[in-house]
Amino acid sequence: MRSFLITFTALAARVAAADPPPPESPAPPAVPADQVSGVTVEDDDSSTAREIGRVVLSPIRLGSEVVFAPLRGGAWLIERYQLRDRVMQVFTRDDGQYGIFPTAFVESEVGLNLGVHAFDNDVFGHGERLALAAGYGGELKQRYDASLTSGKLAGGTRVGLRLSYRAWDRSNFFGIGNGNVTAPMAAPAPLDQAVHTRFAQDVSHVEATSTTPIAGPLSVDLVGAYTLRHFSTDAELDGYAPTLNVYDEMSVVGFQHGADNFYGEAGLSLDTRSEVDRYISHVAPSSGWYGHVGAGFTQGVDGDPSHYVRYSADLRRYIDLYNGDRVLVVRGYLEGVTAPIDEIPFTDLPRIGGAELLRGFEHDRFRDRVAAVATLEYDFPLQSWIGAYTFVDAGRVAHDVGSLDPNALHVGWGGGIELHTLDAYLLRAQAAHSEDGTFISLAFAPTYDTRARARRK
Amino acid sequence: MRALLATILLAACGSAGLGELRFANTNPARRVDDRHDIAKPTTRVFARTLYMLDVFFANKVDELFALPDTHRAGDVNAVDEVPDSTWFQNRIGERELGVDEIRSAGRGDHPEPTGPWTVVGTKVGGASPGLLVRDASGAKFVMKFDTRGEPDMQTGADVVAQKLLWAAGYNTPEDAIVTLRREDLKLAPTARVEDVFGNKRAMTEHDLAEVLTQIDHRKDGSYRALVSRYLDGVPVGGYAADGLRADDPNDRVAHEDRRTLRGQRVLFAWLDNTDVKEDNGLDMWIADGAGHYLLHHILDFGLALGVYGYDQVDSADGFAETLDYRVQAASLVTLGLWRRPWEGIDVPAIRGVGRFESAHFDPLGWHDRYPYAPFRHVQSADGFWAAKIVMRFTEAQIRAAAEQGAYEDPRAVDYITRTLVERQRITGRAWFARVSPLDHIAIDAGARISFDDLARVYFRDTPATTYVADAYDYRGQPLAWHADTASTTLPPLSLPADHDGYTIVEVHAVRAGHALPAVRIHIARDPQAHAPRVIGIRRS
Repeated sequence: MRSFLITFTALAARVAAADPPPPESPAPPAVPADQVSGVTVEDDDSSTAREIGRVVLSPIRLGSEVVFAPLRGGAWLIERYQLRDRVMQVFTRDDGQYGIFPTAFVESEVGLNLGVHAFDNDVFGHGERLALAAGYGGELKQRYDASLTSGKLAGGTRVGLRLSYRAWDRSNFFGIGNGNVTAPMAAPAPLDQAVHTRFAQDVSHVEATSTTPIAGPLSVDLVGAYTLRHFSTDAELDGYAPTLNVYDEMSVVGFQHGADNFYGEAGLSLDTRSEVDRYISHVAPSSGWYGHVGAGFTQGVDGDPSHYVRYSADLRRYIDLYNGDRVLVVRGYLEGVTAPIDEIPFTDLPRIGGAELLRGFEHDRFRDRVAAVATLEYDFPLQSWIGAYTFVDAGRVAHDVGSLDPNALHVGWGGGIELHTLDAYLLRAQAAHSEDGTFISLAFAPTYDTRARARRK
Repeated sequence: MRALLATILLAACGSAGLGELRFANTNPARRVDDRHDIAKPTTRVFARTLYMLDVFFANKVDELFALPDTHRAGDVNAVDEVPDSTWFQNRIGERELGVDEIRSAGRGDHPEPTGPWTVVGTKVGGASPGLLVRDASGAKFVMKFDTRGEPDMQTGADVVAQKLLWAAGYNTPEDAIVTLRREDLKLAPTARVEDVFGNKRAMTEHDLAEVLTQIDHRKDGSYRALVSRYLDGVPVGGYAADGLRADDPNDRVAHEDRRTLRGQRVLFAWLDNTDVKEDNGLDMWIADGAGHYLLHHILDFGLALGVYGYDQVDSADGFAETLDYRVQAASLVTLGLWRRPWEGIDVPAIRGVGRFESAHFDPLGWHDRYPYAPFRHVQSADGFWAAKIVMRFTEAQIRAAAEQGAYEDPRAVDYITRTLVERQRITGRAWFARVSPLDHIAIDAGARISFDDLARVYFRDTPATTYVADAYDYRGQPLAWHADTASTTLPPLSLPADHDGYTIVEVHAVRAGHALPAVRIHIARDPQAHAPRVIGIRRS
């Protein structure tokens, strides 16, 4: 130890002695770049194996060059001609208050929808937001939307008005109930036999909404809506049977004359969701509760037999397992109607199945007077704005709440990856599996978007 | 027993013989002759979208199949140092660098920038709003402001990092913080505004007012701004991350093989300057008595010191690339159970301080946001060179740089200084453990080699160390000389008679039984003075 100390002391003394700056001296002579290294004989570090590997892999490299060439060309054009800025200049005002831009939505189960979206975020100078949109293709043959939402009014209330027209030509109908999918048999099939059929529908819809905070995380939601639907078999079948080729038109309530009804709903919402720090996106909360209970009344007009109460409850618990971004989501969902099955248009029956509610099944795979779904989902981050999740959904429909059999649930499971920013949801790619098969979806909407009952498909 | 252990460990180090490397018997080059007269090169335009496509996708795929080699740095001299060039000027450690010189880093012979400020245009592009101005002396500056809601942050980080990087040896503009009032800004009659498409028009008072509405002002109505002095010469764009500039005959070393650029990875990690891409460099075509040549600069450090992570609300900044497939795969495979290295970071809420700390800092695992080609080629010798520079800064020099950030909250200077010192020491420990960190290698007239072991110089808790050395002649044949000593002065050598006594001494530092990679010291007699001298150093 002593010798080490002596050595260290001597070393320190020498370093200290070496510290004083050298006297100013003229610049040293400049040496040609190829002589700077001073090397006269270099090590031979070539590797024959590596050279052979390069030759073998060169076709793959060439292939990747070919694949990337058009992408690189496009990227160069974007920069060379400032296309991003030019598009923004054409479609939006500098401060982003209003603008118009093209849209494209892809969902693997329904295809590509192209459209246009226009907005003004301050129509009358008090934060009123106007949005106009149109789109074509995919599940929707046509869609037109117009909405006007107020800024905060007295008491923090926001009101809104929305008008829409949508033409679907890929709507599913599997009968009513929990049956396993079977091939079409002798028509007409009974409604409790599940055959994958398709139909088309045109929907005109207008609704007025208001949301008023009442205390802390609680708010009251009021909705009034009018909906007019017409059905037909002029659908994109994709190999499936037209609904009326399988089921009796008279038994599918509403198909013949359409649905024409008013709906009013009052609801209570609770939202205590939050993030543990500013580095976690608002669309991926760390913990808290989200709940909504509501009840509404539907009154049919012009031959629509609707005269019933709809009730629903959606409760989610976000549990922070670790660091605010490993989150367990537990969800229970229940929706029901009080009408007899033959007094409610078939599209207004509670439905489950699809990329959002009871994943792993076709859209609207099950419908009946009552539908319930329970979900266990685990969310975790891949990177700052890329998350992943894995889930198990279990659900069932029934004629009434008492008939919901927890021992005979339809179960779907799977996982997905989602992209988002700090404030906005961007994209979700999901794979879900069940007894019905595996379903891949690419969607531009979150799984847990609030389900708007007044705006049912 | 100890000798046997050391021998086994040395064998385990993979020493694969001396190789064929030999150096010319001359003094090492201290300055590169890269200022030959050249015609004005074509201006390189930074195509951001294309660059991102390349670095995150195309280049990654290509690297999988190209089996790329990593070469030794090509801009180093025989003793493994970087000589002065148009890329780098040895400053700290090469000469006394007073705190006053750090405070005015990059200013050169120019006077200190002072108002009133004559506005001649608006800044185009970039993350923050800004103006083009002239100061009272007529010198031209870019004037930048902090992003609203992030007072002192970008402007402060820029100046602190600029001072330190200039002192380290890089060419930078002079950046400084100024305080001004609205009436200190005068609109020049010839002032122009330019949009992103290059359209120009006369600038109005309304345009100026609009810029000022985008920024915060202090309670007394004054504004804080960063002024960055225009560089001398004609700008011809940023230098490429890899390859050469084809129209610059002075550019003789592929950029990914330049130690000056590779070494930035170490310095930028220290400063947590993650925003590194081609538009953070700028070549200026300048004229002096010898003609025209390019001088290579780095600039725009406003997102250093963790500001990028704060500003972009990205907790992984400094730990992962913007799209980091390695991180994504690890998280996916483990279903998020993998505890990512940036988790648990806690930075005190001090005005002007970004997401900057030292507790989670890993200099070897640090990442820039956009994969920068030279950083993919860093070798231990490059890291050692840069870490040496980092370690040369004294706390007083670091504090002098931090004070130039002119932070309103006095705690910011203390915190940034303390954090930089902590990160500096972590940097030194990490890189000095990857090589035998021997520096100031010399040989005296008695043929005794001496050196400083930088780990022992800087870190008192360095384990007991011995230096195991063997010597070889010009042909690579072992000489009857062996050293195994705790002293940093080796026993005298007996130089062979041929090839000017050319001798290669291979030295390993052995700490706590662990042999570090060797340093090979090439020695020969000066043909004139006949005294032995070090003519080459090669680090494993």
